[in-house]
Amino acid sequence: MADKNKGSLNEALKRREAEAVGERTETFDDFRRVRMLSPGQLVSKRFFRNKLALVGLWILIIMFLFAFIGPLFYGYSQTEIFYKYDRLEIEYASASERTDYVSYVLDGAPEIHYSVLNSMNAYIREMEASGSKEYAVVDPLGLQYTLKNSGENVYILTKNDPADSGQTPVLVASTFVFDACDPGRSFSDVFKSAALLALYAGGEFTADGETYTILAHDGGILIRDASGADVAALGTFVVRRYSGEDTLSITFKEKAQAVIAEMDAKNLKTSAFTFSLPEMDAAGNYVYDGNGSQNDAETDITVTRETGQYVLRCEQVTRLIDIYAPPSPEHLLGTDGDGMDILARMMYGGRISLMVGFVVVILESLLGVIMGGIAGFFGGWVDTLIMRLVDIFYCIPIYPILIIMGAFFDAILMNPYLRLLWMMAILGFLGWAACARLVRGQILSLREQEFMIAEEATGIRASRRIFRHLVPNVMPQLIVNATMGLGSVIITESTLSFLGLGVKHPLATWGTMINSVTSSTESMIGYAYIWVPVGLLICLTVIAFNFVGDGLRDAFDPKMTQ
Amino acid sequence: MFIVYALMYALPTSYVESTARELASKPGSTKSAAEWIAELNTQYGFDKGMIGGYFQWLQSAVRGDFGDSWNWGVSVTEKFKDVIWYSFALALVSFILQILIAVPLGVIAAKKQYSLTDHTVTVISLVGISLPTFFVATILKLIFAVKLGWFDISGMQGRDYLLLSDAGKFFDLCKHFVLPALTLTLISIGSLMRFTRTNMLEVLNADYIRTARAKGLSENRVVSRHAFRNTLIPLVTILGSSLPALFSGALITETLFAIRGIGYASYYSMINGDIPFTMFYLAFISVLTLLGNLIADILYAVVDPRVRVH
Repeated sequence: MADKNKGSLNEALKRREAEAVGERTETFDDFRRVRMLSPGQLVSKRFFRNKLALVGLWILIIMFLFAFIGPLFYGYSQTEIFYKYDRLEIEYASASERTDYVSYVLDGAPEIHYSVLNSMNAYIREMEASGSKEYAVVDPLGLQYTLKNSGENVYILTKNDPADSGQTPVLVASTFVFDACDPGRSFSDVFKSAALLALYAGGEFTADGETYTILAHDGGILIRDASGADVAALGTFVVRRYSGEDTLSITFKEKAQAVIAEMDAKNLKTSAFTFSLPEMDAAGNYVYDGNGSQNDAETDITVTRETGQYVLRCEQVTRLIDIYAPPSPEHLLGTDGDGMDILARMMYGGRISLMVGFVVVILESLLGVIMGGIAGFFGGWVDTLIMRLVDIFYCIPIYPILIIMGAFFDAILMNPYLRLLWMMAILGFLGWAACARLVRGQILSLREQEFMIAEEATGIRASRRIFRHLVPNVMPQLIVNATMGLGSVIITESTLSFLGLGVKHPLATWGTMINSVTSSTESMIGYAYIWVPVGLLICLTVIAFNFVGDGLRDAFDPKMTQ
Repeated sequence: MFIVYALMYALPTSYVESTARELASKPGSTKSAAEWIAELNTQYGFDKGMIGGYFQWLQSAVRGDFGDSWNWGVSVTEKFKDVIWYSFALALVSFILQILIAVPLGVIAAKKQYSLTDHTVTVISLVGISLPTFFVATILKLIFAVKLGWFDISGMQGRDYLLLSDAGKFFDLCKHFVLPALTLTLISIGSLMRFTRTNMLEVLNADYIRTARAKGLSENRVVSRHAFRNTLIPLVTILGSSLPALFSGALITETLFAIRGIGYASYYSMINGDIPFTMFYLAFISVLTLLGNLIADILYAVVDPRVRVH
């Protein structure tokens, strides 16, 4: 055989080629035959040759891993709020002057009528206005009392008992505030009433089984116990911490009252003093020295006169919500305006965005295939009817309806998860028209092909014909359409969430995260790490979907020459 | 349209009730709140239920009377006249810009298929169609308005608008329109570029182009005289049909840049349950869409002689 062909042109050319190449001899045998590929393999080969499509695919894979697998490895949840400790000027305490008289009913005194009790302040004001030192009170039952001013700020109510020659004190009223030298110690009413009675009458009293002396000292009034140690001081200002803890030492209160008196004298609105307050470290814990007692640090306290009270402010370490924290090893992208970690929210948001995209596209593709298939296959009045329906749905303006539904859900305060479901349903429902038209067009052209006639001749059932033969041929265009549609659905959902009408707080989605910062410029520039990564992520995802869709379109298209 | 009417009817923000309450509490009002509600309902046709109300609106709408806008206070047509020209100006500028940018690039990309230019253009167009409007707007704001400080962040007028002369006012307006127009252009060039490229490719692979080349015409002449004209057919049709859409306003861009155009007005009307204005806007949009289809059909016949024969 080889001899016979030696002179032919084919052989000559091959020999020359073989010489040129050197080693390989080209024989036309089974190895050299063109490999037959299945359609799927052809499509994949064309797809993977397309560099852009590959890039898109990789981006998508990364995005999916990020959104769905990421949260498993990342500790924070999407709604976890983070706190930090920072030095902040806070309202530490308030000092207000007590101007109403507080009545202390003496132990063992006979019962006083409630009208008398309630009118004590009124009687005292009348006495002050008229300048008298005594006042007669008669209660509705006819009993008589006398109200006497025993000294500055102290009034004693005595009952006129005809049987008794004297008058028994039944009640003491005063504006004095009892500040304990021992912070946290409180005094019983018995103690207070006994002290007030004794203030202008002797200075010694017994209460709760102990003797005390009350005396004026250094411009103030002190109460000492039997051993001479200071127990309490009387003042007219209530100095109290805003946090409710009763940790103010008596020296603090006295200092504050002195400063306030000075402010009054000079008619100042603000003043300041320094005082040793318990020191707190950066983590908000109290600092203890080696012996276990609290360290004190000198802090500047400003006193401001405001309506009805004096406000004392100073810098303290307080627990704050960690808003707008910049990127750090703890929070790789920082925290947003509510103190929630951004990276975690991006991952969970990615889940929702991608899920919404897929569900909507699957829904509208399903609807489109069914309707388009029925219309295309059966033709006639079914076709006309369904096409009219498609026209109606085509004319529905999607954005206005979505915006109105969003406002509607806002007004009825719907649950965020339910809202998400509704949004997906509406988006899917309004979008099937384009898909149906596409499918119908494809089916109309496929219907005339020979394999359909063959099926009809063989007697295959109608449904089998549609689903096992027609639909797979429609698939290429459908897939391309679906992929491109995915991109646009994600954009629509982000835009709606951005406008505040889609997915709501606290559910994170990529649109809501951008929404939170565009309201003010400082947020926009100062905290660019909040919204720029999210926006880029949206762009990347949609770009990736578009690349893949484009690549698929080129891959399915048999007219492509390359 | 009826669907939208039904939806807005169901919106809980009831303008009728709040107006009735307001009117009843005014000194000198002769009716109580309940009576006001009844009267307003009759006036707007709500007492006939949803369907009756819709038909009442339809009747007056066909006659040209769209009623007063609830949200904006003035009659619907007056508000519309106020806002429409700003939207149109914005849309026109971005329309021209996008044609000038996208068509030449698309043609070049098709001429040099599979080259670097082609890939670049493809990438740009795909990126262009993927950009969400609000993101582009915010990024532009960030770069130009905040960092560079060339433009104001939002709004239609500068702070000293009233002090400027007429020419100054015009330039001030232009200056405020730059960023929104840029946003709109950036978003639309993607699809136009792609469309031009696809059509151009189709034309370049046709037989008559091969004939022209075989006849010995220069490549330039082939492309500019023969191929380009044929590409123009679908291009002109698409562009012509989108002319009416210029009036519809870009909702998001206008809201973000606080341009008081028709998109902005309709957005706020929809959120606040302003039925007359929204219905009017939707009717307007439907008319525009039909007009666009009509123009497309007409242009097809005008530009393509083959269609005329049939």
